[in-house]
Amino acid sequence: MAVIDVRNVRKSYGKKKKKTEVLHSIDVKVEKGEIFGLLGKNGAGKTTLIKVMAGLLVPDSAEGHVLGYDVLKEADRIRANVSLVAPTADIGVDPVLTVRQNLLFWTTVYGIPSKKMQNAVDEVMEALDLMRYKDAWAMEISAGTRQRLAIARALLVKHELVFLDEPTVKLDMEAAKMIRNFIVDLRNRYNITFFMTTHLIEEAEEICDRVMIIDKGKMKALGSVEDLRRKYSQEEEIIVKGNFDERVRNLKNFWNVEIHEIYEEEFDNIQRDTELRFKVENVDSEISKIIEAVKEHGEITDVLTKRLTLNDIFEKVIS
Amino acid sequence: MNSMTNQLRAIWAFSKREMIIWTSYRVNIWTWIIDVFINTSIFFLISLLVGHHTMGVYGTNYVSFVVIGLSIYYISYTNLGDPFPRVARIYWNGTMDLYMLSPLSYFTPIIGVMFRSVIDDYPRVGLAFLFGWLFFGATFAFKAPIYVLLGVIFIGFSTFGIGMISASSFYLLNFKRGSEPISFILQDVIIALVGGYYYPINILPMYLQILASFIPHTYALDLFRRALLPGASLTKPVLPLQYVLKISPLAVDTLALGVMTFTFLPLGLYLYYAGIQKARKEGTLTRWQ
Repeated sequence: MAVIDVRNVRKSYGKKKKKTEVLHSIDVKVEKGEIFGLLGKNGAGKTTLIKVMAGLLVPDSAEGHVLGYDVLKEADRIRANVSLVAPTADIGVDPVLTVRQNLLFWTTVYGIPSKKMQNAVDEVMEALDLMRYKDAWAMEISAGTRQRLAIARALLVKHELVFLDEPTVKLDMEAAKMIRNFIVDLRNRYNITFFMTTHLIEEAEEICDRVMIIDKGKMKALGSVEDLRRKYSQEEEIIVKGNFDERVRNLKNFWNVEIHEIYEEEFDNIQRDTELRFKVENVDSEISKIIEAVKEHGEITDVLTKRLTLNDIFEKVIS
Repeated sequence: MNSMTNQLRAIWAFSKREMIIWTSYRVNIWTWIIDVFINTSIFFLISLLVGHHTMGVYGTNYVSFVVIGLSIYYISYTNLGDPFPRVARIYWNGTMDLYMLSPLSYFTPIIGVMFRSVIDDYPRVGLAFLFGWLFFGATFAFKAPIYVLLGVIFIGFSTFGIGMISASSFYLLNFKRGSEPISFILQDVIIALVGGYYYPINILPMYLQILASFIPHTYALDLFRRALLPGASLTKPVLPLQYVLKISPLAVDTLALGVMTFTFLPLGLYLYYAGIQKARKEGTLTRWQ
């Protein structure tokens, strides 16, 4: 069952002449247990879309359901059943309370019964490696640790749907990796659905089952990273260097290949190499076949691959 | 656990959090005590100038009269003045979205964050009475406990209603920077001038007395002074409405406070709700967009 199934989401800010349309008829469908990534530049409408789906913002129009609740008529129910991690760690973290006091406060806000409060706090502190900071004031811990605290706060209640607005934005690589592992672990353990925005394309590539790229409030691409790679195929390359005979040109009959002669000067010798640039749909499925075929025409000195990253796709889609 | 219990638990958690924050600055406790002592002392010094004659229908002396004034000031100042800056704080620190994404009602966070101040007002009132009695010759009686109890409830809720009207302007009228005019005009202009904290309002010109008839402070002060000051009359009218309605002045005060409570409180809550709905349409619940 789809946890999010909304269509024709439109939102504009301002009045009449100064009206700015931020979302233009966006459709989103996210299945239970999915980690869904929303990519876009600043001002693309990512946060607005999250707020509409979380019931915080009233759209100009929208149809469909979030967690089975009508996105327009039952926004209050949606709000009570989703969690959100804001992009700034300081939001929801009180600097003059300890890490533990901060979390205990939020257990009451979220209506966790008194008997379960301590366990809920201990569980998220353990999972996010916050135990050693439990008695430290939030203002004394690093920005990265505060971000972990903010995520811990959002995960105190195991809501079915969690919105993460740039959850690793202030973290170093190690801390960001820990958060990503934690997200995947939570999904695997509790089947929680995550809807996340990120500027870090590698992050989306690493953990998102599917991604949507939006630009100026319009959906530009949607699918798994592999789907998008396929869609924007002919962009991946296998580059084979070596000394080959003339018959290597016959490979053009089987592959889309560009052949370049490369001259390199070394110790008064001019060395001639041939570089074959194969444009392929998928590096993995083609590389062994190409190497076998090329080997018949000479000696291979080097093989390079240029895979299409999500970043390449993003740049291509946005441009 | 039912929803009301959850809301009350949350209000308690907010208050506890505010208390931890407040007591983390230990000097706060001392400034709190000194502030009450100095306020009472100032009026004792003024009373030396005024002399020890009685305060008309309110009997007793000026210090006793002013201790009641200070008490109502303490109670109403928080209820009326706190909601707006508290909403502003929640907006600017970005937590409104997070509170909205919880089972809390729209009003629980705002009541929660100001509740410690409300709790704080009552010991402050107690201290003012204590200092007045111990050091400055104030005397008190306890003549009409039911009226006092109703008065405490009504002045609290009616001024909170006005406070919520003022808080709603944050979203409804977009008063997001600095102060807003509603509580300023009410608290710092009208109530300061005609509220009657420091003098009986029957010394004011009639048009100001009529203006004073529209604020709850006028009736609360009259009620508490009559009910708590020795020698104060329980029958002789002072306020314009007491001359119009030919019933006991304490009943007039209670009735007026009740009407104001049942007008301002629902109106304040409704306008605040409307403000939140407007902000949900405009995307201005928090500064984070």
